[in-house]
Amino acid sequence: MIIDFHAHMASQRVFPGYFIDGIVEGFMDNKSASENPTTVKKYLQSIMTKVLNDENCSNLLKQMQEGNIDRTVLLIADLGFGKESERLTISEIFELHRKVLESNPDHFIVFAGIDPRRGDFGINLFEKSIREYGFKGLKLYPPCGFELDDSCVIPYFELCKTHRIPVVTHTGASLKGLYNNYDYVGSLNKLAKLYKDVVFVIAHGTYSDFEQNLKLALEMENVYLDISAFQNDLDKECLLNKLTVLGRKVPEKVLFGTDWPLYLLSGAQKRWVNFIIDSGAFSEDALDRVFFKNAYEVLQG
Amino acid sequence: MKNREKIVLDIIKSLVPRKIKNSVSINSRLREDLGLDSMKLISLAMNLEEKTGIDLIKSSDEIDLINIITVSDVLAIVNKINEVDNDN
Repeated sequence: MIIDFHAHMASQRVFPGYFIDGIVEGFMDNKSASENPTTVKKYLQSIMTKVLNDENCSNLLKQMQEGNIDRTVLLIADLGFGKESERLTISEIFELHRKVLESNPDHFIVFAGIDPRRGDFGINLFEKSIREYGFKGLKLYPPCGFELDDSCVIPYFELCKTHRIPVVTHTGASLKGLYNNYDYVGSLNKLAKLYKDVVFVIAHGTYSDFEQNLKLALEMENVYLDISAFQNDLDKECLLNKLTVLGRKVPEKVLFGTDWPLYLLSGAQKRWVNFIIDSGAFSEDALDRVFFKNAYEVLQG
Repeated sequence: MKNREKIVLDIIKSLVPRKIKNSVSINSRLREDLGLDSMKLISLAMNLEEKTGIDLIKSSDEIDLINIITVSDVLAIVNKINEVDNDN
């Protein structure tokens, strides 16, 4: 049994234009792109259009099957608050995810993503998605412009506590121009103590601030980390070292995640599952935990 | 056909580190064996267009990115697009 704890619906409509452009621009910073920027940009835009063309998640399902992944957590990232390039409203994005969940209840789990600055509307939509849509968690994206412990986020944690559902927070730098100085470590230190009954998941645990993430997972009973975005360091020795440390020190806190569809050009689900198995960083028991048991515990509340 | 295979192999050899150039074969896996990352794959596409005259963006409906695993898969795409172009 394998659960992918960190993935997204691959649809152009759920990502605002500025975000897609920002991903392309991020690639353009690569040294090899500078030699022929116009052509590289043309290719990247074509690739993005092709990749983000799976609104019913049929391609993801196919890749899950090839990678022996039984269930995938689809995280809604609310990136459009206050942005003119928002393609769909957040309610429409929730509706799209509800439909996918309804069609594939045995394969998908959906976490609601809300920018907490949406006020009462956002709080109500979040609660509705838990009560009526069957969404099972909350995804927060602080680089949009808030801190995890801002007062506007507190009602969401209260709801997570009431409904016994976990919170996943993005960590690490996001696109240029977004609010990348957020202090999730400081916030989680406070919040995890304040909300002992709520599980907090640090997304992209190996990507940046690894030592801090490890410390949080070691010291706080209700803090886990997912390893999505490990693909960023695929050819670096440090990745294996980090995974080995996780396997040795906190195997009961690590969640497998692929961040689909972000790394699709580098490979798909089968490759990422095999990479973790073949890395040798986790014992057989630890692999069971990372691939399934930990996720199951987190989802059970 | 043989010429296309040579073109594809030569392009890919030009993108990999010198120490593994000689091990590039039609069965090599682009990512796992040859370590081609996203930018290298885009360079591969650009070189293919330049050296074989195919238009990959125009033909993107014919291409399944995920299933391009090996050098052989790249060659198959070049052949397929050439056949479509010739039929037209």
